[in-house]
Amino acid sequence: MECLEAQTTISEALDGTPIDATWLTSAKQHCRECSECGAFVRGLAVIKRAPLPQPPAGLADSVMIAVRAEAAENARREARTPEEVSARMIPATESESLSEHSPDATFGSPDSSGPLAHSLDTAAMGTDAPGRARTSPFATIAWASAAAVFLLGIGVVAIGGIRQMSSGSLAKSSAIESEYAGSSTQDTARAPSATDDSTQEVAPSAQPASSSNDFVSFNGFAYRLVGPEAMQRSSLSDIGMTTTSLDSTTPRARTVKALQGSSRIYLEDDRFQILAFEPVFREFEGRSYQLSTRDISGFGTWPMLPSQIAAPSQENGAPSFVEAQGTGQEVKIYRLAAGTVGSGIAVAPGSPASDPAGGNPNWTWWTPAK
Amino acid sequence: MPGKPIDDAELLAAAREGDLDAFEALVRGNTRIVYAHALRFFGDPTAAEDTVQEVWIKVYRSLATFDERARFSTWLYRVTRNTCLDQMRAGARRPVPVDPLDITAAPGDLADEVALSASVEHAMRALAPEDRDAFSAVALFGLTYTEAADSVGVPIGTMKSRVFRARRTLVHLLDLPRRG
Repeated sequence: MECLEAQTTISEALDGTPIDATWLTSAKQHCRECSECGAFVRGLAVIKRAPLPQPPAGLADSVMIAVRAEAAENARREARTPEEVSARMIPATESESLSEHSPDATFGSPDSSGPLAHSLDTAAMGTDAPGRARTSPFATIAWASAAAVFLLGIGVVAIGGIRQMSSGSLAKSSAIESEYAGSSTQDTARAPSATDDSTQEVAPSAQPASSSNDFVSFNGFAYRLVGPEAMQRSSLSDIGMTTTSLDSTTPRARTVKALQGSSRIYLEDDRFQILAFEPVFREFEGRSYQLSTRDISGFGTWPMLPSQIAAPSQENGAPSFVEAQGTGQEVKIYRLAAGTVGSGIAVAPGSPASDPAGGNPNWTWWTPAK
Repeated sequence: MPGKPIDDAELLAAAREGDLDAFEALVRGNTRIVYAHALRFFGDPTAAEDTVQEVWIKVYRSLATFDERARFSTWLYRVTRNTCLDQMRAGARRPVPVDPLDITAAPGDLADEVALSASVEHAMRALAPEDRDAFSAVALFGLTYTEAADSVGVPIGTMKSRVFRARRTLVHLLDLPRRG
């Protein structure tokens, strides 16, 4: 028997592959007689008894905290009414969705005849915005017809997109292998700067709080869902990638886009809708802090402490955090036990709904905003 | 290597019914394996921790879609492998490169398990990614060659070759013929 035959036989036997008994006996005999093959077999035995690396203590605990939190949130979601669910995905008024960005000039004023403007108007659930009279039943029928045509068009585009995606999946799977063998360079990712906020955006300190947990993470920061936005894709630029499930069941990598002059990021969901996400800020002692998080790939997961910060084991923040000195705070602010507020601050779970961290069952970490 | 995956069909069935305690048992029984794979992939404990978290969240969310004809260990391997690849492709994390020329056998007695483990893990990082992946599937997660080949999308013969090559390289990098 050749050395290669003997060694491959032993290797396969080690993996539980059924080997002909006579053949295996020959392979073992060869290894006893051949110094090189014998050394190989002894080497395999040494490797086999090497202990696996030990994960950090508490890792499984952290996993279960996240899983149980998600299970609880799932239960809360299932208890929501359909109206509550749809209200969070649709702009409350057309003015909110259109007024803040230059693309609103592209599809014109609220009174334009474009189908998108009309469908947003319909989605505003009957709110009579100034300048729009909808008292005539014929006008109502006309609006409804336009909305139906628009939705039908979206459906055709979505079906075409799905067909295109499925035909490309085989090519993609082989590309994955080659990419793993020699990964290509990735786009340089940068977070939108908070100082680039347009004057039309909501100031950080006045940021409305909500208990919604529709977040994505990007470059270590959490971004909360604002809602779908109708805008020209050409006005957005790619700034990186993030992994999130959004409206699908499994997370996948998605391109993160930004609009010049805005701190928001934009992602496209599986229905080709552009969704806007905004960073979350809070003020403390005259300084603005931005909500940070470890990667959250599941849409509906609350932001969590970045992985480099150990979760406290006690309600008072110990041993990771101590209460920071400050006045006039409705919510207790903490700092790292071995640090200062200059490196960041933490907020305990259970803050009121009015707080930017309101509703989050996890400790949250806030980094000084640039 | 110690630490074969816990493949408890009963635990899995209970977890799919919503039993979080059963799911926790799966987590505690298999986290070390998932962590080892991620650590070998990224070479960074922090990245490995985050990956472990993400893997189990994905597993939890996909319980309803798990095909019971497959083994849990096979599924867990696929989720772990894909999570690592997705993170790398998304640019969120990149594996820390290792130059095989920098690999030296740990000083002292390889009978010392700590030294042995450190040496083996360092050498693992220097394996070709596809070989390390194959070795992980078979030796770490306990997949058969058929399951591993199917998971990765290569012929069985290719999978066998990769596992064998991984072992040969490890023995060579660790200088075990001389020391063993």
